Amino acid sequence: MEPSDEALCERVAAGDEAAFEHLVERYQQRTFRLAWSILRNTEDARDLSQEAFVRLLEVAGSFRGRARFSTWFYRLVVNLCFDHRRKHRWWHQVFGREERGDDGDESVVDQQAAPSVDPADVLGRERTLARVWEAAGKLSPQQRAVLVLHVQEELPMSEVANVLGCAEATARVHLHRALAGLRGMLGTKEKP
Amino acid sequence: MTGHPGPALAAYVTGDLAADERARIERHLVECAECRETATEFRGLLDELAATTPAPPDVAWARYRAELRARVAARGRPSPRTRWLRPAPVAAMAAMAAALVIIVYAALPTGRSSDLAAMEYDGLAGRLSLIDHYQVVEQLDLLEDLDVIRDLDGLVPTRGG
Repeated sequence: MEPSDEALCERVAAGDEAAFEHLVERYQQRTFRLAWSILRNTEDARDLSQEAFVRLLEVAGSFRGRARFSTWFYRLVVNLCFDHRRKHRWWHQVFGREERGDDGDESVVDQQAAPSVDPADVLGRERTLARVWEAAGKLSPQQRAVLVLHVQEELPMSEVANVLGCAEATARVHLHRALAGLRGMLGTKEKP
Repeated sequence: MTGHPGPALAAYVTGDLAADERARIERHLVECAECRETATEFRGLLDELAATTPAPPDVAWARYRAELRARVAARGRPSPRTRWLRPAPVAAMAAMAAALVIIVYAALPTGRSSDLAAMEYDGLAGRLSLIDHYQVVEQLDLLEDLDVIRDLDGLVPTRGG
């Protein structure tokens, strides 16, 4: 039977390198994807996700099993990403360092109202849908993280709150503001 | 009409509400067209987000792990049993121990009974165990977890070295 994440973490804390390799293999894709979804920069996501594993080695002993390992580790990753964003805010503002998709040259805020979704117009639909995530890139890091964790990682809001280290009510506010913000950016109403 | 649900509306859409709160919002939605429209749009946005989750760039995972191994080696993997031998904690412990010895020596009046001095020494020596938690305190910037500070006294001495 495959060892649980929690058991592997305990072994990592005891200096078991094979357990560390096992956890890395198990979490490398999720960790990179989460970091990339928040940072939207491949090199930064690579750097931060690797750093998360290095930190895991250093702090595995502080995992007390009160939460699931995945929640605890996601929190470590998200905190690293938030710290990175805070430290490099000026850089992002001046140089717009985030990678963009094919629609990247357009400012989401400046775009017209979202075109109606016509099933016959496949290209138009893809463009419209891609803009939802493009718009999500304009949200605050916390709001974007809530969307990523809930929509992409499929965590319930209680787990999202645990990862973000906030109350569930606060996570709900982030989600509500994220959706209201998207609604506003994509040209529909911004109320209530 | 009941009051607008506010941020609870998003949680209603995601199905993250308790039954009583969900029922309250459902009653409100029957009466409030504006919130009904908002809920519909929120649901549509979440569906679109889920359907179009962008795929991250491809990564050569073998290379990724090789880089990670090099990074771990460069950083020096701190074994839980040898972590105390790192220079910073050793220096910090030595400095704190020296300071305590000086304080004890300065505070002791000459001619004191050796038993009393021994008792005070034992008390101070007991406090030296706090140094065992240096490693945890050192990592607080990463953990960002005030619980660690609150629970510091409750940490078992064997945990994490």
